[in-house]
Amino acid sequence: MAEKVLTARFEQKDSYRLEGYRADGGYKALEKALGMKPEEVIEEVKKSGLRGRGGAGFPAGVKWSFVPKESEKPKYLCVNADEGEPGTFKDRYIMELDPHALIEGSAIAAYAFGSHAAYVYVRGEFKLPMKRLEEALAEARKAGLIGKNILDSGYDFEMWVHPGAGAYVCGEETALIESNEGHRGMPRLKPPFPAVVGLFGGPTVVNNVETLAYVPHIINRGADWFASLGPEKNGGTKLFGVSGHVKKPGLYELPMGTSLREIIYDVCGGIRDGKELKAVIPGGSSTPVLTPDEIDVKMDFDSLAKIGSMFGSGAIIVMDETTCMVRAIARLAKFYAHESCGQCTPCREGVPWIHKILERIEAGGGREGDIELLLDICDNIQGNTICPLGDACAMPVRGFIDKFKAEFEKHIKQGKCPIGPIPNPWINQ
Amino acid sequence: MPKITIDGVEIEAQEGQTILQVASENGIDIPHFCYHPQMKIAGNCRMCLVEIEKVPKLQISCGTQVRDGMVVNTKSEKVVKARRAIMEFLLINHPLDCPICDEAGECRLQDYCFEYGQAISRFAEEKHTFERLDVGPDITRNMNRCIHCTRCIRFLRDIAGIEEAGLSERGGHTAVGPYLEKSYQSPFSMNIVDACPCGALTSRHFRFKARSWLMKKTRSLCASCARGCNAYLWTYQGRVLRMTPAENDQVNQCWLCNAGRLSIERIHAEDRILEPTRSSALDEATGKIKTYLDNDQGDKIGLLISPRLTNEDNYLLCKLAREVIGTSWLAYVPGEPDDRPFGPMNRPLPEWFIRKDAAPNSQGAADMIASGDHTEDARTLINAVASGQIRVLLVFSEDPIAAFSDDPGVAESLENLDLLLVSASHRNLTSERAQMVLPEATFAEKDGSFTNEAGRVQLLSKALEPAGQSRSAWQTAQELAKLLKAKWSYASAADIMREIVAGVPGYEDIDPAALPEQGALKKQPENQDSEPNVEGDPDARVDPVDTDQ
Repeated sequence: MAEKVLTARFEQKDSYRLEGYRADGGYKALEKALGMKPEEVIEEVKKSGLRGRGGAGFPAGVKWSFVPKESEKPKYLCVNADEGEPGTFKDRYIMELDPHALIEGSAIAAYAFGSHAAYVYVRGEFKLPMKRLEEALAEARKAGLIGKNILDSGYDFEMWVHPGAGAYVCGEETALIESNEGHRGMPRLKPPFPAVVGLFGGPTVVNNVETLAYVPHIINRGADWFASLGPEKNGGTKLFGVSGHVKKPGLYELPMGTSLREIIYDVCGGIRDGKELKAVIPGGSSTPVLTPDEIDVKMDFDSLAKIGSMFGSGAIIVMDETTCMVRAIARLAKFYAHESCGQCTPCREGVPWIHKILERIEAGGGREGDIELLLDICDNIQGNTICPLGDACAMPVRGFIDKFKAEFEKHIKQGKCPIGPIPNPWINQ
Repeated sequence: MPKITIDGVEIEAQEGQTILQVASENGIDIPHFCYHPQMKIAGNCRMCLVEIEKVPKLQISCGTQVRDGMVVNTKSEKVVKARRAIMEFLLINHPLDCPICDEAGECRLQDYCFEYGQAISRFAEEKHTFERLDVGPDITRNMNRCIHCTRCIRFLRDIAGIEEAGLSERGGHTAVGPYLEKSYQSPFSMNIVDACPCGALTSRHFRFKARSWLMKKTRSLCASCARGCNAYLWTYQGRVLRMTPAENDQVNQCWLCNAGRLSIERIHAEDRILEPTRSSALDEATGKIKTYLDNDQGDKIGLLISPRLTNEDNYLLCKLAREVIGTSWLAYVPGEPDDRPFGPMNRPLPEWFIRKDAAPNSQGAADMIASGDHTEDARTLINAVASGQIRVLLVFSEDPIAAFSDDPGVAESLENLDLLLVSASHRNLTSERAQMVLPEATFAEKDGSFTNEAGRVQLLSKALEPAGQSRSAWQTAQELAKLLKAKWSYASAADIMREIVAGVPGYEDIDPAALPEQGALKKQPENQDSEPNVEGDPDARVDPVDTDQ
């Protein structure tokens, strides 16, 4: 098994306590970073090839370097812990089982771009992660690891938890900032970008939990070590959350670039009940679906982009032959229709429209021309919205139609779902 | 200065301008819903998307600042497809109720639908529907028609300075309205009816009264305070049905207060005076006046003029008093002084918009009276009535009993006059005690001019024929003067304005021909005791040099 970085401490008893974290060498990286110049910290992270683990894969060090050195307003770090992408369940475990890794990483990041304050925007439903994080923050505060003059370095760093209220769109960085300020969570127009005008008008960096949790390891063990864990420009390991019809679903830490086939068949034990694989969503519900003949792809940002999908958040959703593709995408579209913030026209009107058409097709009311209409609506949404939520619905719809068009046509032609109604899991079959 | 190219035309723009601003200044129409020149950019309707060379995605022209060398295309295939798409999205849940919608005829959605809409809907699903909601006594919200442009939210929050509207629910269920379903409290709330680009917000006072294209629209003034807001009076079948703002950046920008809008209901009120007490009233009054003049007792006659009358009315009444009657008992009741800056300025409307002086022409009344040598203030004049110095009082558009309600003796002393003649548009405490009452036209029924608090002379235009036998005070003044053998021949308010320009100090530089639309500032008197309440943003104004140092 490959080297574990983030999950190495997960199985220890009380892994979330400060005592054990320090015994394992915790906060050494912060101490080391505080002895470096901020630019050196940024340089090290840039060199490591650490890319944002929230989904977009933007190089973390480069993001920090966009923050202006001089600023009249305070600079902020926002930690994106609004883990809402369907299929994704990784950040919650970092906060539950190793919250100090996040605190240490955040402190280093903040120091690197000159911020003295961080907010962790935690998805509202995450009660345990929030509790563990609050406890860890209290421990760290008591130990002088956050607060005034941390580790006697003369540097001040404070960190707070801000609970969200359960809106998917608040994972979008400007919506997160709006919500963190106490407003309705809706994305802002860009420009200005958060690095220039962000939280409370100050320059702001928004980083994903997983991204920040890697930072202490990079400082401790060097950029070269981290980069060597994965393919070029895709350094490090990655937390993969595998769900769906595999024998062993769960959270796995694997090197970037591990093949999808290896993950499904070796790591997760293959498809359950001896069924055949039908489709895989590789990186969370917004990423275009893959077919069985595409699963030799390496799981990293660049390889998936090359075959027209996305690495996303590393949330792999596996579907076997019993899955109705129309029903699957209709359910996803329902999610996006529900989660659209309602601000801009194409998303507010287009996404619920897509959902209604898909539900109608699945229910047997499909008409000739529906497929073309769906594709045209996707086309009319994509690129015309304020934030990527509209695209996040349009992309998988387009992907499902591209890869499984025959199944859609069959629904329309037969006037019913060829796979039939969902088996009721409460009845023993 | 950045040079940009829009649709192949090279244009020199100002630094910081947006593409939409540059385009509209140069006559290039970019369709839009949420953009409003006075409001913060929302960028949510996506109707104004344009193509910019070297930028992969379409960009909103309302929120994109120009850069030197930018090449913009507002009519490319990609842009037109996006506009058609946005129109389709906006219309899929919009009801087909234009035939009963008040907005029809002045609806952006309708206009752009004509240009970018499709005749056949591809939407075969069930529409979202919402309950209708009366958001207070003045406005009805029909959420089914709403296109979520948030103009109403932004107006109330940023311009009216009151946070009482917002978005609730999400996605296609998103509703725009007052928090917790309460009503809008802002005294400026009805501006959101005008700002609404579709029929989601309509006026409860105007609903279903007339189609917009059947009404006549007259540019005139609101007469509810000393600001002198520019306004359109919309008339149909002899009634003013609504008042909406006309733009004037020096006065009211593009806003009106609710009270001003609703003041039109007084025009058709039950207590209007429609005919004289007797048909011979004016002759009888003249007879009485003559007896005093014949005995060389013109100074026993007083005239009370009004800040509610036009400059032309007041000017001719002053001339009647001075040249025909020969009395110096000439006064008006001034409005409440206002030490707040006049604006317009970049502050919430309640801080500056509605003036404390509820009369539209106190400044003008003062100017017309000041054009002669001797005048008295109104209380001295009333005291002279009580003491018997004045035996005949002619009251125009004023109610001295109400104005001097602190003095209970006024009513009795007015009743003891030899003649109390009141010319008024509505019955009031004084007219009830007058021997003779003459009907007067309201502000909607006459031409003329008002001078606002900042000294801006602006034109009032007749939107309606005067009700009953009512007429302008200047016409009554001329009639009286003629009966008293004066040789006057003013055919219109404009005739009088020419004389005002020739003879009233401060008005000499005004060109009457230039008055329509924006009006003109009269010359401000030099060495005034207090700083004049001038137009403009005091925050932006350079402070005068401190002369004490």
